Amino acid sequence: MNLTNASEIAGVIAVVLLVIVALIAMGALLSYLSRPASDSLADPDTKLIEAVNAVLPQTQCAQCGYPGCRPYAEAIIKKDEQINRCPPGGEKTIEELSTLLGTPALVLDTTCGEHKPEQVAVINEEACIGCTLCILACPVDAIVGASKLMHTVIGHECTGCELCIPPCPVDCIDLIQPLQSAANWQWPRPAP
Amino acid sequence: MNTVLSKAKLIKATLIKATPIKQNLINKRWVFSPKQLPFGFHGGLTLEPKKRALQSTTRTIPEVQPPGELVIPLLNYYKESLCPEVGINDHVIRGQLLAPGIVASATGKVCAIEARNIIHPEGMTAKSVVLDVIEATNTQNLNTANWQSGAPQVDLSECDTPEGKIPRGNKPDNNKRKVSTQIDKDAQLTAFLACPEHVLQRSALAGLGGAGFPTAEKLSAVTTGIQTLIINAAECEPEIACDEALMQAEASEIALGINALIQFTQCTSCLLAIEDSKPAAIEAMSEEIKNINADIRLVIIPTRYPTGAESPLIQTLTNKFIPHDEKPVDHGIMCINVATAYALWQAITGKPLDSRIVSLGGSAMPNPMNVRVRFGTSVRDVLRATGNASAINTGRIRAGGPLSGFDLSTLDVPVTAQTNALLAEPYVTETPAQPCIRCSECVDVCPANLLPQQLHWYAMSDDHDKCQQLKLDACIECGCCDLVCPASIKLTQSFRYAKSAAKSIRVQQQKAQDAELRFDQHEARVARRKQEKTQAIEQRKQLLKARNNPQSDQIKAAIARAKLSAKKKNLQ
Repeated sequence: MNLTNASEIAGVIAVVLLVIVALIAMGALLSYLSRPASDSLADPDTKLIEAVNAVLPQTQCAQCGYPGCRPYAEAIIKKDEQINRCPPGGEKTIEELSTLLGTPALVLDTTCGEHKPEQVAVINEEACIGCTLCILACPVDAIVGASKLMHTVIGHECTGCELCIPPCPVDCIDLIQPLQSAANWQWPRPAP
Repeated sequence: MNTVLSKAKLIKATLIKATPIKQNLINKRWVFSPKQLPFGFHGGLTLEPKKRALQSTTRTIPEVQPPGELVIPLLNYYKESLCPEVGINDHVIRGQLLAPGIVASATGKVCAIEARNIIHPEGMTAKSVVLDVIEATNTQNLNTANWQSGAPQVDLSECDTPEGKIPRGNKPDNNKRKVSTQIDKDAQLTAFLACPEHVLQRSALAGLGGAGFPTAEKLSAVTTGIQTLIINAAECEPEIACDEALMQAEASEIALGINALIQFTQCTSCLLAIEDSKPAAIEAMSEEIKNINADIRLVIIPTRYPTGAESPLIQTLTNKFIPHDEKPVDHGIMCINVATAYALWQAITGKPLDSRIVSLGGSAMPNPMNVRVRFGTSVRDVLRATGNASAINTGRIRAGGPLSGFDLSTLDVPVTAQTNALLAEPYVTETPAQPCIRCSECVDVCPANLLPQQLHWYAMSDDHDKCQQLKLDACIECGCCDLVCPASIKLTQSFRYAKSAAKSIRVQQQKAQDAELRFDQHEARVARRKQEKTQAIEQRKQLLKARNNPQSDQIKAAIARAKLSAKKKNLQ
């Protein structure tokens, strides 16, 4: 009687111990899984730069004085550059940046350039002499062509950054409003 | 709360399903009555049937003769411009491919490839092939002369019949002709099933329900596991009667098309859904489907707008709710319009899809009817040819149904596979919208189970994230909410606006991402080239330095060589 009692008690203790061990293991596992991601610990700036870069229009026009959108994003975070130096993004981008960074919204710095509606470059193919200068200038590889052969702009890949305009020796590149087509047409906003 | 309620409803419906209906399926093969159909969809409206166009649904459907000029837009389902496969002044035959998925609807000469107006809410243009019609009737038969090489040629002389072989050249007598047409049909069906791509690629099949989804794409998504094939013969909207007219006129061909679809999809069951407001069509189809040797049931469904839309119909028939971001195919269901089934059979017999039935209706249409119209015929020509020319001046012409259609700004626009109806309505002054009073009438009628009053608020304030949370993408733009709104708010229009605005933002974001990627690649390439150049310069410098250095081995060797040759000279 006593013996069975003892073995029962031993069994109960074993079960209790097992449960405790299991709970500890689960706790350890959960704390491991819910640990903060290592990269954000390493550099809190990286995430912020990514966020700023996502707001910028990716025109890569360099009007802000930096060679592209990511360099400008880095400058905003690391060098405290002003957030009003992006003409293609205009007011909308400034507003988004100010809410993201908690800084006051500024007026666009017009020394960088004017905000223009969406535009694309078009090469006058008859006048093009095939000098490849615009191909070298295009930051997003949106111009195709070969030396002494006609060049052309891939319309849907052009960001309208205007960087191809100054190098052209025959001035055969124009900026136009993108064509409205049935594919990119939008339903009009109903009157409120 | 709304979703909870509807879930409760669905569970109730499933419970009812268990006992009486199963028995019914076994005993009576053909017909369900609306009372016996326990499931339904949330919302919807029972609209007063306007029978104007229906009155003219007779056994034969008149055809509008193609006018002198046909305009065929080179646009696919996604509204992308296509590259034409023909040039100006080319002679094209009816049924010839003009671009992938687009066929010439008459024999003629290509007189221009230019931007022309299309059926569009804002009168947009699209690159189109303009055909000068020479011969309207000649049909290119895909099964014979112009069938691409490699396609299975069906040799009818090989077919064994109970009466022995039928030689092809001999004229069969009447009795034999009957048999031979049956064999003909079987052989054509076998040829299609052996190589469906050949029929689908060249026949330009598109869904004729109104959306115009390419049927080839839909059918090619079928791998295995289609359990239920649904043939949608419920009309989309009250004034449209094109499917009803087709069922009365071409019931046997439709049955053949359905049979082909059953064979193709290998489905376990097939449901043909017709609304209870179409007794003549039900009669015609119930006679014909008896000839199909497959598990097919005619289901008579209650006439409740918008049963004709895919999702509500699937819910009505199978009690399955398909989320808007999933395809019915993934749930083992395929939904095909009855006119598409007919068009498929036509394609199997070698006639590509180049015409459709258009319902002419509306209260200002003097002569409402259903007519077969060749694609590319302008709306103006259709109205003139059917004696409805007076409607052009007295009313506004609407493309599509009374609820989901839109007014046309010009009538010189071509009829396409999507044009299921042309309605003439008198001019009305629109009642201005008033503020929402939160009556929630729109919630009660929404077939997609959404909260239209909330969505309208977020749509108008351009809060696309909130719209997405409230599943704006599930909206089928049926217009039920507009109809019941006591404040006459144009809800559907705001949803259309918000949907297209959100889509355009998505496109812009994708474009920016792509530009960034290309910029990074460009920068990397420029940096790599610069590095390669400096490396090359460095190497060259090293080389030159080594050469100019008098201590270098090369110079030493040269001096040694010179000394040696001088020595040799001296010795001589």
